[in-house]
Amino acid sequence: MSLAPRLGFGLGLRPPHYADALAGAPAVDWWEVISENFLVAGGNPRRVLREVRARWPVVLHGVSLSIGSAEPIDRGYLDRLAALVDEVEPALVSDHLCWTALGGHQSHDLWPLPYTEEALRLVVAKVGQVQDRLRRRILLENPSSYVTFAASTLGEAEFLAEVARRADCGILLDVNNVFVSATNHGWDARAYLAAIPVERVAQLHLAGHSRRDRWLVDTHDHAVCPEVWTLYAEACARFPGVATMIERDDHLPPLAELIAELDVARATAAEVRGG
Amino acid sequence: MADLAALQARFLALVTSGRGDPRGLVAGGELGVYAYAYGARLLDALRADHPKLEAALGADRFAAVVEGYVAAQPPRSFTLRDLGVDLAAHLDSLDPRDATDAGPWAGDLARLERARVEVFDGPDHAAATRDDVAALGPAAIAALPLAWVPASAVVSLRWSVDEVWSALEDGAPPPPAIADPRVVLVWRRDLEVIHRTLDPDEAAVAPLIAAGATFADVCGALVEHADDPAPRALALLVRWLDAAALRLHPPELP
Repeated sequence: MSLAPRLGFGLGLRPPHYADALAGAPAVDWWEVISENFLVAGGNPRRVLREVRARWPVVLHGVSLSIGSAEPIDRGYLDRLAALVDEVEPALVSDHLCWTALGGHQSHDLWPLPYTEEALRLVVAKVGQVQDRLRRRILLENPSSYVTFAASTLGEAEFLAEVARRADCGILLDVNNVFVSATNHGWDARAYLAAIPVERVAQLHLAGHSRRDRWLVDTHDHAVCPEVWTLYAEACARFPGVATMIERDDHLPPLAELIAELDVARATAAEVRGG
Repeated sequence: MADLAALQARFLALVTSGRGDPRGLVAGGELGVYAYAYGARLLDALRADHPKLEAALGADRFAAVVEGYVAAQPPRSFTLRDLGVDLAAHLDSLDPRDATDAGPWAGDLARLERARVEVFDGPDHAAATRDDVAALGPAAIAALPLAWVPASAVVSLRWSVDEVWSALEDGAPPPPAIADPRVVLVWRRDLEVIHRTLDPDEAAVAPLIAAGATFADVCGALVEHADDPAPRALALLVRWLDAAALRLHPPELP
């Protein structure tokens, strides 16, 4: 596969928009779906996925791979994901640089890793196992985080770049997550972008966030904020032509409103491209 | 992996149950963001799957039930779809003196809603029609093996929570649940999840069909309920076929 297929501009497909997505011809180049929502036997989710896939490229985005857990990959989960990949033939397959389970206890959240050499070796080895099973590269997404660990010896961007290099995987760069984590931890967001290897980035995410006390939280429940649009323009300059999508999971507006927001992404990328 | 495993075990205990000491673990930030998100996400997932139980209990009581359930049965599946798989049994097991006990009927309402969740995205399968059965010919009908469509569940209830469910669905005040055993068939017709409370004789044979009984077996079982079971069995067969609740065992239909 090409590490960065030129997919254009996509949206996350969520159940309240199923009917509108299929009824018309929304100006969306591709759809990203949450893999776990379709690891089911049948019914409406699978029907929608079949129909969407027949008309658009689809990207599978997972939340339960738990690539950073200090325990083996869940083979049952991986087998089911592999079957879905075989069926859907997605343009890209991604999950997060995080851990979501330990000792059978599932967090259903994206928990951060300590950025250590030990964690780096573990993640690299597990990405290799996943890519071998899926017979394709995967992308890992930088998470939003709300703590940093005392044990960390590497920066997050440095860690992610090294994982991608050693494991030969791609990067899904979430611009909102860069902004959220940089704000929460006092990182330099532009330096973060600069530390990410251009040739590894195959997809960009945009999303909104909210504030909880003094912390920014990646809630996907608002429109993309001006600061993230500014950072996105810088990402477009560094990673030109990379597929971009907007995630929205709560306070879902009508599909037309999300498409209008996607048009802002198109215009931003075009403006950067035009100089 | 010892250091990473130990760190993750400490993090998990702190976030999910507040157990442990964060000193030396985190360099900066707020673990409380994760603790809040963990509880909120699980509550949201169970709200989505059990809207009638939440409506019947009220939001605060439901949240307390969920907190108790998650503490007793931490999530074990990679998918939130399975989070509520043990909720009904958990509610059944609570002592009435337990602070989170929701009433003796609550487990049954959770059971009914859970069946609907599982049927929603259960396996696809074409339902049998009257024409399919007619095409087999009269001689073959007695030996006809029956089965519910794969996306179905036969749910035995001890309480009249089907009536509670229906009232809430209609936006009406729910009647009090009473102890009155009944059987509900939940199935998916095309993409729509449906349930129906079965007649007493129908309830008696529903588990037999789930176990792969033939039409003759159904007739035999109905002897206890009707002097002449054949017409009743035929009427039920037509009812089930018209409801798209039945399939014929392979190889009669794929």
